[in-house]
Amino acid sequence: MRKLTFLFTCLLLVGIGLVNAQSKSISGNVFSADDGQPVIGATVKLKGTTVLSITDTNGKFIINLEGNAKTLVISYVGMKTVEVEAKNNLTITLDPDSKQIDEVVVTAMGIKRSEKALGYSATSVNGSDISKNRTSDMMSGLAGKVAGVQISSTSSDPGTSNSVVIRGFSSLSGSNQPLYIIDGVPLTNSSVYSTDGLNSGSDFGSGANAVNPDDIENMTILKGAAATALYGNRAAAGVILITTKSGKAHNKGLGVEYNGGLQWESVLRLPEMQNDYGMGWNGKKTQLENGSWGPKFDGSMQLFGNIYDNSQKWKSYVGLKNNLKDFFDTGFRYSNGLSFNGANEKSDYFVSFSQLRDNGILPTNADTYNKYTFSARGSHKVGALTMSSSINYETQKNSFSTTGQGFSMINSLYQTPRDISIIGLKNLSDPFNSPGYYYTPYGVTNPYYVLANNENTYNAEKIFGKFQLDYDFLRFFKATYRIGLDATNSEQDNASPNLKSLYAGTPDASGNLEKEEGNVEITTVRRREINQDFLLTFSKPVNDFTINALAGANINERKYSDLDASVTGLDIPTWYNLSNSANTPVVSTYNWLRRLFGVFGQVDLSWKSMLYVTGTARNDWSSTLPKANRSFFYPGITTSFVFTELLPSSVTDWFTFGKIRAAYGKTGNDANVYMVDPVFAQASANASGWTESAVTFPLNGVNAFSKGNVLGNKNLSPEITTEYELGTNLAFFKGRISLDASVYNRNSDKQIFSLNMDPASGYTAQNLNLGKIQNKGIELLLTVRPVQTKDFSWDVSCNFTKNISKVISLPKELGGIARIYGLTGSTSMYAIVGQPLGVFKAEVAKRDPDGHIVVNSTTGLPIAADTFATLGNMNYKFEMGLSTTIKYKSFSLAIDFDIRQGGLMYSRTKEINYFTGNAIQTIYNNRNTFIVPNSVNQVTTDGKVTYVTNTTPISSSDITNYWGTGGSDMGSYTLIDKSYIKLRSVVLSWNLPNSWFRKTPLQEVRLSAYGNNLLLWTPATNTFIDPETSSFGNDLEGKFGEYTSNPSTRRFGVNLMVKF
Amino acid sequence: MKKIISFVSLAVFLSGCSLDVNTNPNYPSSVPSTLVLPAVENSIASAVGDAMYNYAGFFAQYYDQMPEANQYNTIANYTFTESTQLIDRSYQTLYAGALEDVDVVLKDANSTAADKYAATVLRAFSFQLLVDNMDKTPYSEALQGSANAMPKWDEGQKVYEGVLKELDLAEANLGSATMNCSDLLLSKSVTQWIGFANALRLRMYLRFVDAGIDVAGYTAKIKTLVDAGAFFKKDVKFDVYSDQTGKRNPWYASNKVSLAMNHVGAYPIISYLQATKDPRIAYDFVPATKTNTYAGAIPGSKDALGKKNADYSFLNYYATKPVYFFTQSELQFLLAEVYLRFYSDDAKAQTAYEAGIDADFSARGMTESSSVMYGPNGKVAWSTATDVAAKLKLVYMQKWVALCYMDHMEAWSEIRRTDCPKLSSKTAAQINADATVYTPGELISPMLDGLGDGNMVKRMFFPIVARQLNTNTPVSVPVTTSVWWDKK
Repeated sequence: MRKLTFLFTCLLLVGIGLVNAQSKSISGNVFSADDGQPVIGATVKLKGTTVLSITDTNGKFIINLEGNAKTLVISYVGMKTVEVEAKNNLTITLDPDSKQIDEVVVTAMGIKRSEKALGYSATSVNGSDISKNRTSDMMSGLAGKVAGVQISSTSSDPGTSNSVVIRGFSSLSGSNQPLYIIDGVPLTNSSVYSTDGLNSGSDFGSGANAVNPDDIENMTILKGAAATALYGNRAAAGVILITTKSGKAHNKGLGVEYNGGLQWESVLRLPEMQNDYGMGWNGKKTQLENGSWGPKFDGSMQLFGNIYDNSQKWKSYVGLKNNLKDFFDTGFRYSNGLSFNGANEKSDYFVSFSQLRDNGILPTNADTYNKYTFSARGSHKVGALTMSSSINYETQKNSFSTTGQGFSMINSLYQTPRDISIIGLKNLSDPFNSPGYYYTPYGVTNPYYVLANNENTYNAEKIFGKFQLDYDFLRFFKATYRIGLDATNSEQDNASPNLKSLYAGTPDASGNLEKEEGNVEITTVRRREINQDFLLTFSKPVNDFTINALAGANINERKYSDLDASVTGLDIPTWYNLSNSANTPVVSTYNWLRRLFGVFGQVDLSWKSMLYVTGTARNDWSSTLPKANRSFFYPGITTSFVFTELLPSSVTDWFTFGKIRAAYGKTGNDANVYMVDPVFAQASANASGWTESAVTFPLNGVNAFSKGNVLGNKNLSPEITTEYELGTNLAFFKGRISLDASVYNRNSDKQIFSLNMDPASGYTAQNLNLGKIQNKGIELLLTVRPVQTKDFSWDVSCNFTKNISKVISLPKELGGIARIYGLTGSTSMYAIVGQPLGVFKAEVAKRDPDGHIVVNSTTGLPIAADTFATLGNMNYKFEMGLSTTIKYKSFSLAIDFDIRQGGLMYSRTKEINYFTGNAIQTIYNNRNTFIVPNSVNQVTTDGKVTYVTNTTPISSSDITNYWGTGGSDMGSYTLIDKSYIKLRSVVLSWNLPNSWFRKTPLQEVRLSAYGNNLLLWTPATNTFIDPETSSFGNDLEGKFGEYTSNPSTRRFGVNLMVKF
Repeated sequence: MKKIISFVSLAVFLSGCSLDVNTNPNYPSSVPSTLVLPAVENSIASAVGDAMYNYAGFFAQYYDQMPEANQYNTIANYTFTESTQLIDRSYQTLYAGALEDVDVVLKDANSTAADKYAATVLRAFSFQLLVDNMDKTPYSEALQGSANAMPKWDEGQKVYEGVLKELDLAEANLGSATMNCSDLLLSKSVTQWIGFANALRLRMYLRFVDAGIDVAGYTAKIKTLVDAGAFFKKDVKFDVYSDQTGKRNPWYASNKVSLAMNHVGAYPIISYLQATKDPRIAYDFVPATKTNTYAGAIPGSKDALGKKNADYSFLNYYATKPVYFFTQSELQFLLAEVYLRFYSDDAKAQTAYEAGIDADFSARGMTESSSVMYGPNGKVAWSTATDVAAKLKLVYMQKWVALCYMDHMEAWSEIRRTDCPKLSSKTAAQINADATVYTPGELISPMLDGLGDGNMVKRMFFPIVARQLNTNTPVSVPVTTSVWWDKK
């Protein structure tokens, strides 16, 4: 704290010194003709003299007049230099010169800076690029387009969340999602997903989905610690800064914009299934099986399923090739958006409405997303005081067909034998299609019935906005106070019918229906975040120097409460209400509150638009840490040097721009709430792990408490990330070729983690600061414009990211290994010292010293190795994006590819397709008995182990079992290579010639057609899923993989934009 | 302007409320130990009455995997591995649940000596279960939290000795104390707790004797116990369940509610119950749908025989059935064994034997009189056995019958200690082909025996969770290796 006080005092003294240095001068503003934005850092020179000024962050300059000089020369890299007569209150507009190579970037705390001044990598994206491919949220349109930023959709179901990971995962337990800041105010981005991805996976999106992409003027992605330090604690995983559109003055037109679109979606990737074998098990036909382990198709007529009313269904014993695909519909979405804006010298306003209705690829309305947004913002100037406010309202209603095992729609689909027509199950008034007489009793049911009768919806309302005061004083100072609010209320409803009573007396051979007594669960959640900032900024050019300084304080409070009520045993089988049961509803609540205080400061110095240095510092105090470790300080410094300023014009004619930069910064990350003190909880025991097996107090009128299994820690301290970054920005031939390159080394130390322990210690986990994770990487962005004529241009850009993660340390006494996520008895994902984060270990077959598979000499089946093997890790080897844009007159065509190479993930879709014999791989050797290739038997004589060639084939009755347990890969078969190449988007747009509607109020009309996720290529071994999907949320655990997730989709759409 | 600035500063700096808001409002930070003891009982009930109960029931050959379902294939075929994690959750439930909460009771200044005694008995019982499953288990360094995150594993014999010593010590401190803790197991009766402790001692002493460890010393201890006769009355059972989510018998909740049914009666028990004309068959099983007679599946025969569910007897399910920690019936059979082996007192042995059958009939609420078993025409009447060996066999076989659907973990342990029922010398295939080669009640090596023909499960694997998180976990031991007390 003492350091900061000192810093502020210095600033103040410098400021006062500078204020006195004024003399006779004129002022003016420089704007870009391209987007009407102020041009920052433009050089304003008094012609024929050495007098020079640089425009500030508002594009404003003040220059001293000297002698008889009456002409100003205004120049800026990438823009055409203009000369104007020197007079006061000038407004100068600069036209772009060829390709603009230096942009205005909004940096931390909303400070606009010239990109060349930045000492770190920051990617600025225009609103039009975000909204161009018409995704319903703002992030998924950027997938594969920004180096160093991994954007993945957790699923293709309408309205789901995105995983956005900047420069790798650096926190084992905290959030790795970036902090979203909208117009200076943090946006609560908690994602709403089911924590029971195994049984009832669902994803209802995250807070960032509430933003209407059409409202965005600009987005800046701040990646490194030095760039984000001002946002403190919460920005450890990077910052997405969003500036929304504001009102502008219109010379012509009314300032009205309309966007309307239609979109269709279809299935992109389904598991590849065999078409040779049908309903049966162990090579025999059966009438009740949910698998395709029967004999080869023979075209015969087969009775199948249960008997009802002395009759039974029959089918041809032939494979139905498109069976699965035919189940899915064409999804349809329509959206409308309307905005109004305007401004005069004193005030501006912007109002927008948007509506979106999406019904995905599942038949019925079980997968829908309805979203409405409303935004209103404006500002008003009174003298030196500017008041501005913004209010945004969003309401949504989603339906999601839950994924996972059991009676889920998708699980039931994947277990359908290849000869049972799925669309033949559609008529639910047919008793054979009801759960009571469904063809199989084995843990699945009619997918149409699930869609029609199970309820899983989410309703939310979100209000976020701010009120802000800016006061300019003493000419170079500005004081800002801002209060922001983000409040969300939501209700999630989950219900299923009482099949036990609906289908009493049906041939429920496995008793599956009997346990489905119906349930209703309602969860309401309230979240509220209040954020206050006080800022003091100072900006002044002095001769060749410009100084910008800022000091501020921040108070943040986040509050959460939920109320969950559920009841089972519905008396009226399909009426979903908590009162509909003789059982007592189970009710629980959970609340938390956390606060964070921070003070921060930043000083920028620049010299001759050539050398820039920025220092930042912040100190946070967090309520979630023990008192003694509550305060933490982190500084950062960045510098950049535009070396091309020193080169002669003969060189700068082709070597237009060159900058090198370096940054060092730290950020902290506090703990989650309540990790410090131990607690007791109402007692419950569950030694078999099934949901229903838990026996929970009160029992027999007696209540009991049990000591919590997670050990608290009174010595927790914040996670600290330290990052070094070096980079360069180069432009050649007036920006026709440009390169942005960064290397970074990011070390996240003192990870806060709830580490699993051997329960024999009395606890199952302990909260610890335990170790260090390193992420090193390279980010490259190369853009080339090979062709440019008056009417035609062609741009190609390629971004490349390689991030290498490494777990540097974990406490020795814990064996240097920590489990991140895993499944009971099988594959798990770990942090292991010396290895990349997220290593997969799984069961593999035992091998002899020569690598042959050891099999059981009696059964011929592989024997599991004594220990699990390391198979690989969750990280991509590299990620790459390729984009090209072709423009001809008013037509433009943009194509984007997203390429990700390497890495493993868990796939239950594969597992279940092996288990049911639907997977194409299971027809190996035409399902005849075979000897496991290269297998041996272990022989022990006199305690000596030798290996002999195996001659025992797998018996025909074991073939089902062999594949069902992973074949010779054993448990590790559930891991798949998650590499892919996606044709992310193709956008064709056409701006109608203005001449067509010159006499109408229309200002601009643009028609576009687009396709998203059009094509997907995966390695030959992945015949199962789109590897982008996840069933475990959007953070680190999500990288474990998928647990029978719904299939991904491709989308096509058309959009009309009209401006009045 | 000044006004605005002062307003702003005020808003920023005075609205700054306290940072001391990190006390969890959702859970209590401390509770009286009186509210903790029932949690211990519930945790143990979940382990011994659900996960352990389930696999031990396969090993005791009470039931087998239903042919048209798949949940327990690996248990039925003995092909489960360490990574099948059969014991992991019980291990966690006993250590991080029961034993950790025992510690709370023992360390609470307000606990009475009787509270601590009851807690110590439950602690001894928990460790007995762990040892009977895995032979070795963490004991001397267990339950120390972060002070020792990787406790060493102790030899099973040392653990038995340790908990027996703890019982003695707690009893010495008992005085005339009464219990303050809520008690769902024995209703705060200190006499019953002493009786339960003595029964546990008897059970464990017999294992020392049969392992050949200090035979004279433990025989003397057994006689002292039996002479004093201070054992519990009725059953030691956790009888709290009701037919509602979260309140049901945990094995029922797992196997009838969470999973669809997966069990059918096994051939050995059903054939024995039929051969002995035992009416308890109707308590355990229902006749097979196809034949309307009782029919059991030959162990591990599911894949080989391709039978249907309808071919076999299903189980009867009881949603509110108690979990038995120690049945009166088992106690009586142990006493019968002691009278035969160490007192050579045939009359007392017969009385205890018949009391064992009585107790079991009573626990099951049978309407038939238990004398149908041991009365004049009873197939298992005391008079049917002529020598001590045959009488011991009667006792052991009836214990096996009486533990069926009552206490499977103990049934599996006692099979291992007494080698009774014994393993049939015929293979499953031979028995399937010709039932006459088989003596009803003999165990059968599964038709598909992943451990190799004739090999039975003698212990449980160590938990994966310990393997992964504790480097002191011993190297994996095959499940065909006997535990330390299983010397016969």
